[in-house]
Amino acid sequence: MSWVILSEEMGTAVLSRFVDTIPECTVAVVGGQGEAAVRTIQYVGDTTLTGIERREVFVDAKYATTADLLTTAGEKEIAANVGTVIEMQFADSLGCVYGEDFILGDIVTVDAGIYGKYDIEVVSAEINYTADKRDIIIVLGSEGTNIVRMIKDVSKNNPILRV
Amino acid sequence: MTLDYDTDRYDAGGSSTTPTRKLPPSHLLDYDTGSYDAGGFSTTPPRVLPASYLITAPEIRICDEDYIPRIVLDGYKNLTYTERHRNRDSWSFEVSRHSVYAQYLIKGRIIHYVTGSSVYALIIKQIDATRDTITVSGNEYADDLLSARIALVNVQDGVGADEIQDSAETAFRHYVNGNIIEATDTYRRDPFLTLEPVDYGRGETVTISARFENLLDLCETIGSLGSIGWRSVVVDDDTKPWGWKIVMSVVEGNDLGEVV
Repeated sequence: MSWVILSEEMGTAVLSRFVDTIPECTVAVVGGQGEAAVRTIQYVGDTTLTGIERREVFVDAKYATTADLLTTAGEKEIAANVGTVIEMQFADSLGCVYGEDFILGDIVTVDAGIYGKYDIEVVSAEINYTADKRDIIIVLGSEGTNIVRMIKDVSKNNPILRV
Repeated sequence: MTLDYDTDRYDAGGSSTTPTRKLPPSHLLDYDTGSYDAGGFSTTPPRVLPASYLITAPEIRICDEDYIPRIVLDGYKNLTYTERHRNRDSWSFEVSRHSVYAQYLIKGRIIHYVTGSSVYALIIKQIDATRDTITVSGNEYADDLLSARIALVNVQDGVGADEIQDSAETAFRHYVNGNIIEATDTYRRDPFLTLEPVDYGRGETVTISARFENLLDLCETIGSLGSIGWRSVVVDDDTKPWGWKIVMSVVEGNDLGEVV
């Protein structure tokens, strides 16, 4: 747990949006060099997952000449699918100031109420200046993930969500 | 529920209230105007809709961690369910963030969607909560399960592909069976999904070679080439601790142009 805690209960931030999505890939099947039946295949991820939690994706990595490169390719695919994004309205206070106590890239703790607690990375901050203060909308999630992209991905799979 | 093989429908045990749809007697149908002629007794035919048109809100039952549907969701709004013949059904609805049910709406949970006499299993794939509203969305469970598998049978044997030339239904069942239901790697199986017991060999003959394709994409291709689709319904199964299973069936559309 980080010492920076964004929490409605503690009065440090207000949860304005919480998006939690099932990852599209939990087991990467990475194809390396070779053709047809002799092609190298490596499984990356938790291969003991079963049922709907096991979500297989094929990764074409013909360039990979070693087992480590195959693993890296698979891990990259899995990491790109982490699916929690939290948006919080934050106001500087005596105890915690954005830019001093935490900045982009820091892992902070978010108490999202009924959705649980997350140690999660700060990926963007929209700062709105008013006469005597500034309001900040902080987006937290995994690297390479943001709400817009996530919503687009979900909309692609669920056309009813398209706007 | 038992399967009536004459109608390809699951019989809910005589409790269905949906009457059989019948065409009106031919002498009452005015083909020029497309309206019904009441036979001289009235010039204004009463507007009669079949009982199946009577709309009742679907019931949503949230399963607990043991997959037992225990909680009936009350107070949802803006429910949208999109059925697809050869792809994933998708759905969404909204509840108040202050609803007592919000704590049970968790990604990965299964919900039972009860409409008429049919029950469908859905998977919660996304929770999108704003300050006042939670939008819950996802796909039909079996459809989503297809998208969660790739064709891995025989990829390291022989020609390195899983090939079949047969009716579309047989091909569809072959890939679902090999990659999920009786997959060699038992972790690839699913505790809920079953196939309809009988292969009727429906659809046109297709020739398919599969190697690492996403199973949903593969089934969509088979469906398009062979003119079939699929549906999945929940039926009772007392052999399961949670008391239900999903039966996936191939369906063919009817050429309604031949009725007249």
